Amino acid sequence: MRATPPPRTPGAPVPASAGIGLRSAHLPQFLTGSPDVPWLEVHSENYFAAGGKAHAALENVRSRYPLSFHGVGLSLGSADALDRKHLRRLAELVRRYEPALVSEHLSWSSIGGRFVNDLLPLPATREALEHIVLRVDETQERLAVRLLLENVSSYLALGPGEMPEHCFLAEVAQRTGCGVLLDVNNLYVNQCNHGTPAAAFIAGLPADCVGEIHVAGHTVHDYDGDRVVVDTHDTHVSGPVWALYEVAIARFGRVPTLVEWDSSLPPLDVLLEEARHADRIMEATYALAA
Amino acid sequence: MPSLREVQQRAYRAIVLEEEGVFAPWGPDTRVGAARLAVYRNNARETFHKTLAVTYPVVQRLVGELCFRGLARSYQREFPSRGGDLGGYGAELSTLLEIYYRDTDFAYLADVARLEWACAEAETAAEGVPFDVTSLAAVPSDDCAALRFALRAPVRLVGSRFPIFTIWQANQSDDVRPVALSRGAEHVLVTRDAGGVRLHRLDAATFAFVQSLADGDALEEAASVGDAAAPSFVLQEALTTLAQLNVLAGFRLPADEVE
Repeated sequence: MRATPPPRTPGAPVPASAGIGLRSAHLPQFLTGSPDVPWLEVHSENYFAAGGKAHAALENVRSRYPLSFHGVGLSLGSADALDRKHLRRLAELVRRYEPALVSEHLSWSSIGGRFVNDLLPLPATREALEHIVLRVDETQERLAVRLLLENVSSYLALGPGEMPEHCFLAEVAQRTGCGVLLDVNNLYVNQCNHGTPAAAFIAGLPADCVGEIHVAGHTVHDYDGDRVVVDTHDTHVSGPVWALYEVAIARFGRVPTLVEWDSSLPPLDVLLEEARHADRIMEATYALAA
Repeated sequence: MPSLREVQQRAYRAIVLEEEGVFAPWGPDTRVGAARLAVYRNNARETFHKTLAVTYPVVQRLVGELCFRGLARSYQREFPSRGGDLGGYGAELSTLLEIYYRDTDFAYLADVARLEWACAEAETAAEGVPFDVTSLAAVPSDDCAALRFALRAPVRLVGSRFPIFTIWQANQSDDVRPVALSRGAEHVLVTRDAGGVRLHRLDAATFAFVQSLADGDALEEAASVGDAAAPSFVLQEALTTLAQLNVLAGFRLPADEVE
């Protein structure tokens, strides 16, 4: 544990090293001490309420750690109108907490005003591309930040596609100026579930568009003989995902990296060690590539 | 090729409403497709069930986990999630329970759910500026009757013909003792302090008085509501209770309204 971390200015940049998600089970350790981690990510929607303990805790930690706000509910890819109330609340949070990174997903979660509250894949069509470009533009304008857009895992194509997903994501980034939050576990999951080559995805993205990387654990399920890899965030990052992470670092350089572990949470020390492992890979890979 | 909206409408029906065969003609209408769809269906069920279970632990204990899972599945179909923030999900569980159990021995479940929803709202309501009760001393005595009070944002009021406070309290420990419904009506004021959400049982008259204040009635009118509820109502005692429980956020004088 770091004894006394240096004071920081709110809004300070997230360093190109490995951080973790701030989860309520670990909060007491962050409120009574300063665990040694360079930055923290929170789910934006966990702070949408007007008051309560979550806000008090975040006010406490923001003076000591750079923050990243990761949204899961904006439903950027929905054919509905953009949820202005959701966007307004997010803008208020961004003004209040000054996160260094703000991210959302290349996905949809609602239609007809009804929400699935899951990150459902967008069909990679021209129609969806034109649609999401407008919505990313609107979101960035409203939040006055450069948004990072994350590729999601999927289990079933929810519609026909007209281009590879990385071409879709690259064009959204190129036309809107947004960055990419590259989730290498999601790439691996999709490679297993659909045969989409993860390395080709990494190679196909522009070298300068990735602003953050996620790594996470997954679980393999067997449904009547069909092997499905599910993005569960409930265990250690697997060997093949670390291998893909090396490929990503070799291509994109040092990038802020988040170890996502959201359920079956381990003790904080285990999570911090997973982050240090990511740091070691990042340094070793970058040294080789440089 | 189907439009984006059509794809999403069909996916919603398949995942949340669990309708069969809606992915045709572009989806893999195969055994594998069905298994993969099951992942999404399971994710949705788990998300909605877990959200309700966190908000309604007492209802879950009362009906049992299996029954609660059934309720959660009915709820996700009948009362769709309306936001990307799950903080508002579950607000209408009491309505579903009313529909199911209105004329049964389990009619109290809807009111227990209302109480738990009030607790959830209290937990995340805005804090507001602390109210200095002594500022009331400066109010001219002639104006007191026309005072209108604002209650703190976390304050909620839940009344029931059932002993909901006793039921709630009995289900806070592992050693649950049965509660006789014959205990009758109970009225609860929910607040939040530094330690978290607190529940206080009020007598019927004080509850009616506070409810009247919450509705925006002037002090004199609210006092008459309290009197009407029970002749034993004593205004000074009720005000002392509100001050002790830190219920008040501020007040307005008639002159403020003119301005």
